[in-house]
Amino acid sequence: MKKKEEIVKSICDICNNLFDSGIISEKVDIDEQTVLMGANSVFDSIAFVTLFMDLEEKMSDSKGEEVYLLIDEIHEYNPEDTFLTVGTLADYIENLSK
Amino acid sequence: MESKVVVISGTSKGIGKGVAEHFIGKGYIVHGCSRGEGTINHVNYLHKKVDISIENDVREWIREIKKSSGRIDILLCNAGYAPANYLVNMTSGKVMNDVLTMNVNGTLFLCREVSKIMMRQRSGRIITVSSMAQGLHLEGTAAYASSKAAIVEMTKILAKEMSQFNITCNVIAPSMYMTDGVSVLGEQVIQRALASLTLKRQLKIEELTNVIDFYCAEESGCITGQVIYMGLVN
Repeated sequence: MKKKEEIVKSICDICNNLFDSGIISEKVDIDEQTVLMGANSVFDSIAFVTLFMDLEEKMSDSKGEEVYLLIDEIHEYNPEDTFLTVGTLADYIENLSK
Repeated sequence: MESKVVVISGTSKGIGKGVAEHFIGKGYIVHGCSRGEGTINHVNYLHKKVDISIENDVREWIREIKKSSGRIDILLCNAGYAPANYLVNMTSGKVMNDVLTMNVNGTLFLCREVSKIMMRQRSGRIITVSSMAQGLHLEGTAAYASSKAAIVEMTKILAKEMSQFNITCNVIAPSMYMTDGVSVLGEQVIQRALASLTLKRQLKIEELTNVIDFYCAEESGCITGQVIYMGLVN
């Protein structure tokens, strides 16, 4: 999992699974501007935690080693952002892979 | 019926070992850890060497449990560290850091990783361990008692955060149960502590597991953010 577009697609797939399993009640059209955490986020705490856990699992399987997404590191990676968006998260993950 | 899955830190001796054996006796699957080798040999017991003050060790351990058992029903954050006694004006930063890192950070890491799994399954029981030391204000216990007070506050906040997910979070605060952590306090402190309790005797393991069973019972779903002090502090 290296390219940003692939990461965004993974987030999109996970969100579709969250909708199918009833964890989020509305289907979300994911793009890089979608807010994951902060004002106007469509994700409640359980959806956010589940998204992160699923993403970590997918990345760990893909890399063959345990991967952890740390919210404070993501914030430090892009401290200007007051919201966590799909694009910011994808940038952080892409950078992890380098 | 599927066996319940219990996670307990600090199972090589003392309270953790006693509670682990209690749950094994009930037919539960118990995942235990300590910094050394396990001391329980049973088909339903799985041991891992983990230092709970190391964030990544805890993450890896809990992820392994999730993969192998699929769920976690009960978490008991038992592992802790009690330093030798120092008056406040003799307490070094290192001693304070060591105690807070093990007792507070360790409890935080376990609660954080396990609660994420429990949130998803929308059920769970989290029990942290404080101490009578928190209420006794005994000379020489500043670092240890401070850490145990922090655990109580953290558990009450976690209880609020987890309430919507059918997860209860409570504290057990044992009085005197003779562990390595207590014996290090020294005979003089132990006798003073016992003298200041209403029940001037040591606890039995079955008295501790009785409270833990109460917190874990299906019927205790409305019991959250509570502390049970075992042995009234005068």
